[in-house]
Amino acid sequence: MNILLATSTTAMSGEGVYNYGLVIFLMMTGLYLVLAKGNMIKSVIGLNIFQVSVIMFYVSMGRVEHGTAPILLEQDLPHHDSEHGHDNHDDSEDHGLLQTRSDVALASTADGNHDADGGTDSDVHPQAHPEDTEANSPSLHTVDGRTAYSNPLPHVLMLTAIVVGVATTALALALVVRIREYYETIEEDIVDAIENRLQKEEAQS
Amino acid sequence: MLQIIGSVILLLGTFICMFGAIGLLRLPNFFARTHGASITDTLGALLCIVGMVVFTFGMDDPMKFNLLVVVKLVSIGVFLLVTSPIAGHALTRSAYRRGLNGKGAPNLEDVANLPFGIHGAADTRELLEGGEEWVSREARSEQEPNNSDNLNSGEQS
Amino acid sequence: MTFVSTITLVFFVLLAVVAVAIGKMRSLFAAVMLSGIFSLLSASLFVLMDAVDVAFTEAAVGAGISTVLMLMVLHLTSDKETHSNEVKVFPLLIAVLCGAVLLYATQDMPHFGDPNAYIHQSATADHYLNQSYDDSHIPNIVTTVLASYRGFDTLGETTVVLTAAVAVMLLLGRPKEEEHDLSKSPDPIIEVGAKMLIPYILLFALYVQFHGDFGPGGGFQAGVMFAAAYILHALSGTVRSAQEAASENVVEKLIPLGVLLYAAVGVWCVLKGGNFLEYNALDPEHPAHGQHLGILLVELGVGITVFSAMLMIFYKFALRGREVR
Repeated sequence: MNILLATSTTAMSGEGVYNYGLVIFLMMTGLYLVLAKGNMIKSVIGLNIFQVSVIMFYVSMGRVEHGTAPILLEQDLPHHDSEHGHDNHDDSEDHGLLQTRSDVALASTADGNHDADGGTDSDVHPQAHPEDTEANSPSLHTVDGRTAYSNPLPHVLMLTAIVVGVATTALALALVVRIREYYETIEEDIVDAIENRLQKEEAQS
Repeated sequence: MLQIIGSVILLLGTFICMFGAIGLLRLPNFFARTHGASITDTLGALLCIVGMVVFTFGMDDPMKFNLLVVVKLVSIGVFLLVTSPIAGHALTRSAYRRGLNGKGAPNLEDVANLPFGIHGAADTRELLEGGEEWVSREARSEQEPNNSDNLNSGEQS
Repeated sequence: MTFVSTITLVFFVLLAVVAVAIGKMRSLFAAVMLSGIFSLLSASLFVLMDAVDVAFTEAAVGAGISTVLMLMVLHLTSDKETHSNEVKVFPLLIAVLCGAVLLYATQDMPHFGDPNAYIHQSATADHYLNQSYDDSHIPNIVTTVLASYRGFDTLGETTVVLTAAVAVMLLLGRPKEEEHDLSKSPDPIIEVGAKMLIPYILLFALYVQFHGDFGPGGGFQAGVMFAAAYILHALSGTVRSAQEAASENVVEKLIPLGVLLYAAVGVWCVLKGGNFLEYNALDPEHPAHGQHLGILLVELGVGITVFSAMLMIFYKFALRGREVR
């Protein structure tokens, strides 16, 4: 796999391009299953594999190192002014289960420095709030004092793709059922042979 | 400390699942395989959940979310406890009714004389004591318990 | 490599192994089961790559509905094995060549997880991440983008689901002479187990529908889970008994109702003075509340359509008669 680790001149972090290689392997497996004329159900499964591999391609492009899912964490939600000054750790109340967002103080993040070369993380830049004096609770996803999120745009597109994929699969399977009822088989080469014979008989008559 | 205990339990759970997988490959016939696989998989999955619960109690928790996580894990565990044995039962039952045990499909009047638990609902009705009948949804249509086509139609195991 | 990326690599390799195994399987039942495993593995991989909404949808739709539909087709076609399973040279050659060209092209792709990648520098993603809470007061950015920023797309997608359901109804709608229920032999254990589970599945589906604003979830996943509860009811008893709970007539009317609700929200926005699907117009003093209301209603519409479409497709497959050989 060494040939796939690109040696580029700009300083890129990240873990290489092995994910694209594996995605392409999946894609080609699905393509082979569809092209190789075999059972129709296997062709439908191959189409499914192809779809999932394309979805994985997009989603893996959207991933950010040390990022989390694109659901804003508590500490990044801007709050109204009345909530400032609450204590962060109030052990006398039960915070865990029924906590609403407004009771957790804004764990303000220090205004991090932007990267000099303009490549910003997919971060949330907190709105202009008066800085709290509480230290922020750093999580695994804090980079330079800000939270890193994965890019939400591929996720949205792929949600649509999955649903459309299942609609297509259902339709393909309905067609398979009808084909079976007509030809009494779902092997594609046998269907081809039947069709050829029918065409020959029609041409003769 | 609790994290270490939780990790050990989690690892134990995965080992048990691995034994189930080995049994799936090495046991001689279908019924032995499903017995081995479904029992060990249930226990292994539950041990994994218990390990995760213990691990979660050992994590430090600034926003007190751990109780919520533990409740979710416990509900997953309950769900697994209910569905995993039922899945094994459904598999084995349909294999039995298809005659996979090498003795041919059972004569279903004889099935009524077998010990309780291998029947369908139509047979169970006669065995309940106290005169109360457990009437299933389809009992009104007086279904004869012919072995019909379940979804588990695959005999290749 | 870090720990997370090692696990990701392992999952990728597992996926590749399962895909190859599907190709080599002769038994169709095993191939369908493997495709269910494939979907579940890919859902786990999506979670590892921080795409929780996508993982939820893939698990519900791929490992749930798709597997059930394929099993029903297996039952209807009653083919157990595929006869022609030798490797076909020409398709293999095409696949290998195509793969080689694509692999050569990936050398210029941004590295996996690179935060400086070009895709992350777009102004659109920046706006979505930083402005979506101000616009709509919803923490789940994916829901906001799906239902508000790209709401027109989602309307089209819901219409696609409607179209698929209508097409399946047209293809499989006319029942054959011998109407044939899939699950004829009642089993008390399965019935009791299903009865224990179905209320909680329904409750959880309702929770997922409306909690999609704060966590992974939303209309699609909830609709699929609602349908899964009814399908479980049908599979544990008979389809006829499930139709007492949700009859075909009612479900048939519900399919376009969701799309109608979605479009009606858009028209309501126009009537209130905004553009089509501009939810800000729903509540002019507090645009964020308007957005929240609009997103709630359109997700409800999506959930209704997806639920009834999946259930109707299931009914059509389940009640299709099979010729007795």
